[in-house]
Amino acid sequence: MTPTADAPRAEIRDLRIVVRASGEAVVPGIDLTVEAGRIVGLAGETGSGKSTLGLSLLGYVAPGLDVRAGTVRVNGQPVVGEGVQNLRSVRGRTVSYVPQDPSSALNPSLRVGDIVREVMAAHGVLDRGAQRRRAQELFSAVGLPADASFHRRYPHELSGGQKQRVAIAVAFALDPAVVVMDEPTTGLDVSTTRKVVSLVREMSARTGSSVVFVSHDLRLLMSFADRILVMRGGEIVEDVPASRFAEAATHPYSRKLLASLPDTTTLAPRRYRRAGTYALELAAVSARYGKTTATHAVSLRVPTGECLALVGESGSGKTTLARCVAGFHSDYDGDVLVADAVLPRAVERRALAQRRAVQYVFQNPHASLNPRRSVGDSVALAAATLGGLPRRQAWSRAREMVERVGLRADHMVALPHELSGGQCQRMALARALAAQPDVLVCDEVTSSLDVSVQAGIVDLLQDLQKERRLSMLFITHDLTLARVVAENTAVLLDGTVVEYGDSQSVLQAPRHDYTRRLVEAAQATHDQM
Amino acid sequence: MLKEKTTRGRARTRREASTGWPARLVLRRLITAAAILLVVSLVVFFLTQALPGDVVHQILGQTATDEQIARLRAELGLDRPLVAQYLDWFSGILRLDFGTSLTSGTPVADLVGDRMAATLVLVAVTAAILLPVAFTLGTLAARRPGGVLDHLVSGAATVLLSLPEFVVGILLVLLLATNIWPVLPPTSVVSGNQRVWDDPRLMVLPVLTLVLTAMPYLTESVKTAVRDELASDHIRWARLSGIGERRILLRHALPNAVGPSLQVSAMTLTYLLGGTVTIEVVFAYPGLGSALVSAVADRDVTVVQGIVMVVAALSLLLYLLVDLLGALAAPRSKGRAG
Amino acid sequence: MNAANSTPVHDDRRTTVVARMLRDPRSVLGTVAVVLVVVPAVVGPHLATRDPEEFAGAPLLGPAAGHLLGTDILGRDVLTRLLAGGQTFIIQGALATLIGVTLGAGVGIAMAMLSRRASELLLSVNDTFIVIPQILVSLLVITRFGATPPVLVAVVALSHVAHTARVARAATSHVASSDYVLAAAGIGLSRRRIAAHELLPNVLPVLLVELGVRLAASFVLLASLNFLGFGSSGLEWGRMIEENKGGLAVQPLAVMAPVLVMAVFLIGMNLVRDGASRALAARSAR
Repeated sequence: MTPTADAPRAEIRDLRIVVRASGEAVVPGIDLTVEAGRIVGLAGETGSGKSTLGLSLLGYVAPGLDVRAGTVRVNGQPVVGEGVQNLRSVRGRTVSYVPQDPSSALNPSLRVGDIVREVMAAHGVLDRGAQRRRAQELFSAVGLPADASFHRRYPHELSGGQKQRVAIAVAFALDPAVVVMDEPTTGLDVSTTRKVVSLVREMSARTGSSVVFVSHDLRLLMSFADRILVMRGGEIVEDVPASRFAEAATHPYSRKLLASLPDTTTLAPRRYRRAGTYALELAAVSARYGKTTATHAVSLRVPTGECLALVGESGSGKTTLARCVAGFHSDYDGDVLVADAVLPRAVERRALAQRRAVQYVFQNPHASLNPRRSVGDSVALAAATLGGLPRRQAWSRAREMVERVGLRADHMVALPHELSGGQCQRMALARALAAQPDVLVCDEVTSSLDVSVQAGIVDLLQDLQKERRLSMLFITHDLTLARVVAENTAVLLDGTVVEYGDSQSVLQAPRHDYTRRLVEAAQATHDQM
Repeated sequence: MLKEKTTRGRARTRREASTGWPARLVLRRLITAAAILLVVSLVVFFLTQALPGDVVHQILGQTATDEQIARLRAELGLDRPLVAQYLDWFSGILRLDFGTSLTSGTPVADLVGDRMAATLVLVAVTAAILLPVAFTLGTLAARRPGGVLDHLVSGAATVLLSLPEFVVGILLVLLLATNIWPVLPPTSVVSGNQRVWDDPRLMVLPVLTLVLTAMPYLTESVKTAVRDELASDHIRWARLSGIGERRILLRHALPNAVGPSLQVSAMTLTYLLGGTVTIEVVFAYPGLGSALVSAVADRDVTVVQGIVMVVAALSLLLYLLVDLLGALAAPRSKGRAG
Repeated sequence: MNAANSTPVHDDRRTTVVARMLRDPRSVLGTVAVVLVVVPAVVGPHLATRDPEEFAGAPLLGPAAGHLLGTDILGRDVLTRLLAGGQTFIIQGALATLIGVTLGAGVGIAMAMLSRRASELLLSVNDTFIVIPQILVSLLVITRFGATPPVLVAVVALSHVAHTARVARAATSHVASSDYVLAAAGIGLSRRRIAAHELLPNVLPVLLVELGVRLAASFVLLASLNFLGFGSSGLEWGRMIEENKGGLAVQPLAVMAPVLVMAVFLIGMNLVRDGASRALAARSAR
């Protein structure tokens, strides 16, 4: 297909894409060349234009955007600019796409085998026998069961990782020159992510296809890409080999991104502990949803003034445990103790002092604040009800907290949707602090935020913990983050604690297979740095 | 929260996998339908016969003689305990015995028979025109959001949905039967033992009115379903994989839009049955609706009870039929919800 | 936006619903239409120089000096009857809507508060009544009690309960399971304060839209009942249409006048309602 083996697979020249309505530039003017067989990582935060750039390789611009200037060629064929004809025959064959969320990208009413065969049929492979053989081949190449019964399954019968493998199989079906992958690992857990990226490497090596891998996860890109481009405000601000990114990246923004990666070499400092005092204790907590049991007799302790990280993948039961502690989930056996006293199960049954003692910060900051109340009011309300303060004092306490979390008083009159995600999460934190809690439960508090914002929140939490001797239960899927913030770590698998000890030993000498896999996955990305 | 979602999601998938069999699905829906009909019969009976206050005086008026009152009382079985009255009545209905009309003395079942056929023909012809037209229009309008057809469909929905069926009917009579372009008979009155469908001209206006009043909502729903589907991630991916537009519309968008649209179609059909009541009066169409209205005016309780039960049963049947069709035609749309 | 210190964006989502609607030509048109019908209908009975039941001339006369809209099938003045017929219609419809939506909202919110199993059971009973055509239930009740004003208001109100209950239940359980309601319990608010300050303000917009939907539906059902001959005063617009449709070929105005008035009113109301939903949606859009 390629004229010469070394000719660039994709060339973007002076591409300018603007918002049709306002004329504001999303991509102000970019040049990019993708060489054959290379994996190019495209890093950046929400709104940096990385997806727009990636999609332009398929000649696609999102509704509401317009291409104003420039050309894009893939394998010599123009897809944007002059001379574009029959995009349909280029898409899927010369350049293909792996979408962000495989569960919504696979047609729910088509069997997975048909999804693969359909793309071949669309590009002229009409012989059903050939289609079936190729589909078989692709499925075993991406590590899916190759038996006929798997081909007959519908997408909803597959796990998230399997769906993404199907999407990858489709993308490589016709040996394209370039595969564009748009955050293909978002929503997948750590070990699945590892498997997916090594699969991408393997497929690229096998077929010689170039890959443009769009991701906000710089660490991930550093672990497997050949070259990393950092985008900001629609421009490429950095373009260096991935292996040398840590040293070679010079742009201040790249340095900032690097700095905001949790530093895995330092551990959380050990703090003074008075033997035998626990701020929070879970005694054989078995949480249920109707007839399904979510956790099996989980026992954990958080020493006063320390942080316990509860690590697990989605579905492991970690959030359920956190909700039991807060009283938001009351269908459980066993006990939750705060300062050695058993708490009533439902939050409504708990006395005000007990509610004050445990405060909860939610994963999605916007959803945790009443959309019809100013955020300042929400904070002041906590101070008023739990602090027993009259209106005026409650408001000044609220103001103090808002300033403590790094926001200004004029943010307080805003409604939640008028603030950014990071600002909202700070407000939610201010509300929790206004109650002057003993135990702070943080449920994936950074996972819905951009990387550079995440680091700020983590720093803030650590400062607060030191300053107020807060005890924390820190729920996360990110082992490296656990290592940074928590003295102790518990690893949860299918509702059971499989590893529990001080963070250092858990990470350095994991006993359970599952933990070892998690650590290896984290390590693999780390070694590349 | 994530945990919560996944556990529930899994549980639901399992549950659906076990009930996914068409036979079990049909059985479940039928049992539900039977239960619903039982509730409806209780409501019908409660509202007409069992409420405190003397139903006999209501029926006969204040001028009735004691003798008349006593006779009606016996006829309705009002001297017996309520439960016995209900059981008698309901077991009668199960044997298709609806009692006799209080005004004409003829068995209600005889009265209902022919008229039910006339109403069902009206609904069936309407549905046969409505469903394909609404699906085609809705799909075409969805292909070009903001296009002429899109605006036309929305505009028609605003106007036609606002008006009661009888207003639309009267306007059509004015337009096509009496004043402006009189080509059709203004009423559907039949003589002797002629059936209304023997003369198709008699059906045109009632059917047209029903089609016009039911169409906007269904078309709008189909349009929304197809439009949402066309904007979905999986269609974008199909486009980016070079799948042709025709195939995208027919194999990707429509099958997934049919599920929710059939649900609306089911609602529309039951709506049609309700709509026939006023339409039949407008055109003096010899169906269940016009019979019901005159029975209500005559306070003919047994006839009212009978017709309401029949129409309610028909609504349920139609609803179940289409609902079932939807569940069987697009079994994957359920899985997606979980 | 990402930096913690950037100023909050005060966007126009704060603009009130009314202000937003005033900028929407469709809403304005709808309001004008509704006002043009409601004001004469309310004042109408006081303006009339004739008794609406008075025989003012020969039957089915066309428009003339004494009878701007002609006479009806019995020789009564159409304009007089048109002015007299709106008041009860509009009052009954509005009253029925208020009662029905309030009841339905109560039932729906109560359903949302129950356990999941009980709630689902009640919901399936509730859905039964949505499947059965509303007009059947109304006719049943009218058979038993006659078409008196309280009965008409009651049957129309009844026709809304099931539908509104479904909407209210969905909205309430959506809000009740939100993180901010959990958070409110976490910071110590009592059940009553949560209901009043967290639940209600967020459920109310949905109920207001529902009120608009139901208001239009009320008038459609009421007009249909009137048309079928079940009205309380005998001079409702729906009744006028029914009485005079036999004379359509000779004196179309006797039918068309009430038809047009009703059409303007109902279409106007739908325009206002759609405008209100758009305005509310735009405000709460994120």
